[in-house]
Amino acid sequence: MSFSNIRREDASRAVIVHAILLTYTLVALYPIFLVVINAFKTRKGIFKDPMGLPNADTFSLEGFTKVLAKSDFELFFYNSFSVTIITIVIVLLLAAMAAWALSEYKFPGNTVLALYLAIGIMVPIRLGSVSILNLIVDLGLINTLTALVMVYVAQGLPLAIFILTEFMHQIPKDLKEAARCDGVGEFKIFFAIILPLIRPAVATVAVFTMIPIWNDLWFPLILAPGDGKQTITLGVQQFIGQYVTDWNAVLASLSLAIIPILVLYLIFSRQLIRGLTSGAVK
Amino acid sequence: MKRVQFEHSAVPYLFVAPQILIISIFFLWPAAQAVYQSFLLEDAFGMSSQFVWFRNFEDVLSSSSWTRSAVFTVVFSVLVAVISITLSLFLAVRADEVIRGAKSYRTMLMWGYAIAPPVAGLLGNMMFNPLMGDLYKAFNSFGFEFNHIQNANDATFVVILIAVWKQVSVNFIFFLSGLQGIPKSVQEAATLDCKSAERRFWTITFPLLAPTTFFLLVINLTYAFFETFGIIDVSTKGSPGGATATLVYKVYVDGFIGADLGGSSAQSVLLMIMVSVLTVFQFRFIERKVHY
Repeated sequence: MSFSNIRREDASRAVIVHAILLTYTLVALYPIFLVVINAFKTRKGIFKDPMGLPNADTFSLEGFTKVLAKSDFELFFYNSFSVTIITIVIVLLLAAMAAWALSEYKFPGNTVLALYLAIGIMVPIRLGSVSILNLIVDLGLINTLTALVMVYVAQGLPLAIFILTEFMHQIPKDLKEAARCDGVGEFKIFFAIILPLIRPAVATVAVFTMIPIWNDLWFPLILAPGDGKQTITLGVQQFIGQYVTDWNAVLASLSLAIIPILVLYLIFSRQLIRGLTSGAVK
Repeated sequence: MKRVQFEHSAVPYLFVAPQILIISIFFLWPAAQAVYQSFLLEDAFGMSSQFVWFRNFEDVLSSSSWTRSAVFTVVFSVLVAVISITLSLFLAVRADEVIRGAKSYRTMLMWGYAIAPPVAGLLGNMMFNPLMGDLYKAFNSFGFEFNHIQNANDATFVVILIAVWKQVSVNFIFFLSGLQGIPKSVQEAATLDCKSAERRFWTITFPLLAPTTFFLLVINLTYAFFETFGIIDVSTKGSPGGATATLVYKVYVDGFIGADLGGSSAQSVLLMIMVSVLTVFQFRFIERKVHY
């Protein structure tokens, strides 16, 4: 609120506000910080001074070397990465198509589909897990990444369609009318005019699709728990289960699970915020 | 808004056909299957099953562990949603006041969202580890006899704390974006008309944030119901004695570990009904009070 800072007393108020925000930022980041700094320390260093930064005496990569030697983190990472990326692409395309149909055309079934989506956001696909498991077994897709992609596409669609529909309502009517007037076909309008226009919302949808998938433990545990197919979240969980007391290994694998997603997140965060403020969800 | 009418046109159907297909295969079919399965009782070897009508439901509803889990889930979800929404609204309003640094707070506080629930559970385990956990030591040094491994209330406190910690950042991003989306002219007019910052918040800002709050209420309750599975599986595993097992965690334990498919399906169906009722309730009674 730039207009209110004219007053003098605001200076002291600003200090209090910053103190509140900084305190919470510390609360929010402290556990992550603690894990990452301790991952780079020797076992002795962790126990002697858990809060200290790694120094010449305590610095060690033993946790990481152990984790990387004993479990296949590159493979876990590759599995998570390919499942996430393929799902995002499919969800974005299908959700944009449905959102376009729902926001632009009036057709029988429009309302039913919209209602379904509202419930789809609330009622999670997990409740049908038993039958999804049977279905995947019948299709011969158990222990494959394809199974995960299929389920995640279904899981991500409702929220993605919801966000994109809201956004598409804001596209000026004139644009579409002008294109139709010029005799441009409906499919071309969608692919050449609408898709490029919804880019800010795409980042928002991508983040909200990406993070739950990357972080999911449920479906990897049920559909693809086998060797060679573990995602990073499942891999870390299994690995940690075996080495509960080996703090070096535990902390190193936790760091390996946290860091990639934080990097992806930082890359997307600017677009995410732009999408949110420009009305992707309102 | 007037929509384009296409009489007898296949175009909209072509656009929604893939969704209809996916929705049918992964939502409708499994839901129907779960309902069907919930009426079956399998024998001990899973070789044959017989149709038993509502017996699975009777068993589930009369079991004290399910009732206990249901009560826990409701209390847990309401507390997690209310605490994290209140806290993040408070923080977002503060962050909206500062001119410098709002962006850095936003970027840093967003990190919590990126943390996987099981990883959050592990972080919680570390903070409450009796040997080296800072929070465990802190609580006990204040004279609480804190023991989340044996005491049900303490264990509940731990899972709520982890769940809220993880969720505040998501809510914060949405509230801050919502606040910054309020036109400056509206805020300036409000400042001229109304001196009290508190009254300004409740009469101008909060009603404008109502759509965001409503959306977050839905998201938070869903999160507390379902997404916290990872937190619970890693931190307490429902212990002590099922005191921190949410309904979803029970579906997993009974169905996938205990291999009681009929009972687990009956539990899933009950959950579906609960969530559907909640959805309808939210959309009918709360959305009506929201001004878009």
